[in-house]
Amino acid sequence: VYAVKFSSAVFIIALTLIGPFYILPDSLWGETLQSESQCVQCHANLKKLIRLCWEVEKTQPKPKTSAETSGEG
Amino acid sequence: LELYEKIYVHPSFLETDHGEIACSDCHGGKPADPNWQTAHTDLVKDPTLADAEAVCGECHDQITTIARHSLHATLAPFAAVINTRTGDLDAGAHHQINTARNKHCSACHASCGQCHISRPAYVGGGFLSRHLFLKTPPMDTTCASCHGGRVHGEFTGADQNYHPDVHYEDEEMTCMDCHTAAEMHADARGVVSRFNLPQRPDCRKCHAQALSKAAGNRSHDIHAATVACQVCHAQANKNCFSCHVGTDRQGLPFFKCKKTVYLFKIGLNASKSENRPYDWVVLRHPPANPGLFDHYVKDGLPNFSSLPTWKLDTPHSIRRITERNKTCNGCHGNPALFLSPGDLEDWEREANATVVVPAERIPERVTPDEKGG
Repeated sequence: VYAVKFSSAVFIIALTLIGPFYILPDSLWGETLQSESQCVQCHANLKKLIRLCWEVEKTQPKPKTSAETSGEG
Repeated sequence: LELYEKIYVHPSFLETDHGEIACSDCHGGKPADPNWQTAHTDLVKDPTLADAEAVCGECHDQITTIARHSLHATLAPFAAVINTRTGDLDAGAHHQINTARNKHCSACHASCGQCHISRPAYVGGGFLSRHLFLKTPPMDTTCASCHGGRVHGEFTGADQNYHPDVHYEDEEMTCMDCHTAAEMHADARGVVSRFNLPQRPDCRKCHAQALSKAAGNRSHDIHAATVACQVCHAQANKNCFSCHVGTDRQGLPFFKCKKTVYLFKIGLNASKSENRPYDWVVLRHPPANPGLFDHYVKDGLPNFSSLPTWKLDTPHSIRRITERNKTCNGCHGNPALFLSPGDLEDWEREANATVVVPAERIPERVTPDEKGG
């Protein structure tokens, strides 16, 4: 009796953990991942990225190279 | 590249295997923060630079384990050469030399990401193809970013007055056709010169037939064992003289290179090996000189003369026919082609004692009889 009860408990726990992976469509998982990440909202949106990069360039100076450099390196 | 071009991720990347990994798994940062300025806190731009095994190694464990010891990752020969020339400097001076080396010579080492995802940081970075992972890096951006000063120009003919390398012009080969993935990722521990890496290219791998007796090539029969292929088949190479490095008042590193010239000099092979048993090789003058690091440590290279300043070269400007192999006397009896004592500055005579060609060793002109009619 204990063995049956234990097996049933393991089965129910496993079903609870693994079940959603089979029930929900792949695309929904993808959407969930993307909606949690603000990275994609900007870096994969060209219009938004260009606008933000203009803002960045206004505030951050371009890296400089020394004026003393001469000849080929 | 414009800034947005450097960091734009194409939506198609998200459909790839690598695109399925959450950005923050590799780059850190705060991915749930809607404020872009604070979202970038603790962001790692190139997570493959500090610890490739932690990010790439999960799937590509074999290659990341060996590649961290590769020449592109460690630039170990730079340190080997400089340490030989510093000799027994005291610890303080040695530290200064290492600081200078890291500042000026180690900027172009490559990480996994700087070959397969973005341009090298040395040239300002930026995705190669909108964050797609490229198994074979593109030659004209990736390789040329660091090797554009000399090798890429030789190979493609971008340097004026010289033909492109025949492998590039006729066969449309790229760097990777000779410099394979096995060489690029090879564990180079203990290798003090890139010429000693067992995986490096060898002309004989593809041209064994041309060197065989059956080919009936008299020039090859006579010279192949003693003369490196490039001595007859390469065009001129780029030589630099007298470089000094330093840091300006704004803290920016600089270099001053006095002279850059195309030359062709044949010299003696000072480092014969099983794979390079030749007596004669092509030489090139890198910009090294005893005062290279004077800005940091005066006379910091006391053992400067322990290595030649004219070093072995394998120019990437190969042609089947060159001025030297058109006729026997393209080389024979032509002293200007050979590194002579007169080509050396006083301070580099001792350093080049093993590569300079004494007048009596320059091959004499060949008469019609000796040519074989």
